[in-house]
Amino acid sequence: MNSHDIDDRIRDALNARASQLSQDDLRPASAPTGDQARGWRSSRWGAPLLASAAAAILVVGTTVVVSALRSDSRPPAGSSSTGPHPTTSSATTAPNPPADFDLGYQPLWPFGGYAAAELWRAGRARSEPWHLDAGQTALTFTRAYLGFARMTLVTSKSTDSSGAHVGIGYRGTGGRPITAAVLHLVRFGPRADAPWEVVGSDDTDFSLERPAYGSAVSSPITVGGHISGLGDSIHLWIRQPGRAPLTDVCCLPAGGVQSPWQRPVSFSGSGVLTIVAATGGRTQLVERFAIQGVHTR
Amino acid sequence: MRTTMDRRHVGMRPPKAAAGARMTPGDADGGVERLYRSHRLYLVRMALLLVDDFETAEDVTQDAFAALHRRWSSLGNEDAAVGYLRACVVNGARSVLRRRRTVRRHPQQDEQRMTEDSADSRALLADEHREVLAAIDRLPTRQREVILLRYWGELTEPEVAAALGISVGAVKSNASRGRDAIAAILGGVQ
Repeated sequence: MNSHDIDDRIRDALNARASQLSQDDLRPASAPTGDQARGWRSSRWGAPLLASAAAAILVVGTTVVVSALRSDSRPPAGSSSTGPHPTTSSATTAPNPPADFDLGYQPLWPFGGYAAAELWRAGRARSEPWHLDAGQTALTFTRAYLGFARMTLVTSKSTDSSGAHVGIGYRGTGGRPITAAVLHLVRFGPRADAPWEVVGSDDTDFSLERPAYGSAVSSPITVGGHISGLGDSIHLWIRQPGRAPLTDVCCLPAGGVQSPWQRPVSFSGSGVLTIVAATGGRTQLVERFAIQGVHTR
Repeated sequence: MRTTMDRRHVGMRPPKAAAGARMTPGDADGGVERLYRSHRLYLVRMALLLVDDFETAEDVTQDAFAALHRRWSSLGNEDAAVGYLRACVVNGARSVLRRRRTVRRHPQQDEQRMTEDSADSRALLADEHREVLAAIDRLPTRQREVILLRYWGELTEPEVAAALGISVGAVKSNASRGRDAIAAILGGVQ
């Protein structure tokens, strides 16, 4: 096989695959208009800021933040006594609109967009230093946004080129730390001091895979994944910052070894959605959880 | 140096935006609509090759156009807008693939469920094409992306570099390694 042969084979195969999709196969759709594009963005910005206010109320008084298998996941000095406070006030302080930044992932919390993250960064000396700590951001996300107040531990933390991966959990029998989920966070901006943003979960023995990450959805949707475990009951929520759950469905029996699970659910609402699935009931209400970020069509 | 990228096959060359055509900053609706008509199919096909799923490919592309609309006033001409769309599609596809990769414990089930349509449609292809596509699937992500954009997209090396956010040198090295790996998988002698 000479060099042209392999080039031709690659090109022909790709062309054949791509050509299976014709204009007629595309679903009817139109180009986004200004209202649609702006509405999509504002829902991703505004809602988290509203949520921040609600989250601040939820989080104040949190005194037990047992974290840190490693010292660098401890909360910044001064933040643990009162609990972290999500961003609320910085939205009005920045004098100039920031440039855009493509996160590459579905931003879920605490910022709905780069502008909000930059606004916080510009005023970071004044408030919410926990945004710079991936562990604290993940813990606040879990407790304040998801409402899993019994999750008090950062059980692991690692960083790589894709961001930070933070284990969140609780103390089991005998005080043993148990990981309920590993959250994926990325810095919302190109700078080293950009705040962390939760973008998903790294699922293993309990996964949430449908709908696909970052996909556009409309109600009803089928939520599903796989589970390994005995006699688990799955609880589902669809959440948006600052609002009561759009969907709250319990309890789907599931268990086995890598067994598929799924359930159709309906919701009303638009914008970015955080789908949450949790198992529990044996030792505490939530033992494992997974999240999936999507947005409405 | 081996010349790996000839341009004898031009069937999938993207529609050409009016070269350097200036855009009207206030006409985002009209400008995006024009590009939507001319480039949507091309971009959905690109996304299809990246994510291997029709429906997801359409979603990724629609998101790219929504992002373009928001960014319209900061892009100087239609070439830049098309480049931005390509980068958005690549980033959107990466997000999809990232999510799939995180579920490492269930590779067989994932593949069966998420690419059910893909498997059905791939089965319609000739054996020869399926073999090559399977070889491309085995490449590391970066090499796979470069191969898809360079061979199918018929993009120049700088265009591929811009879409993937890497250097031109990285495009060259990944294209070369990817191509060699495909040849080795297919049993060819290079």
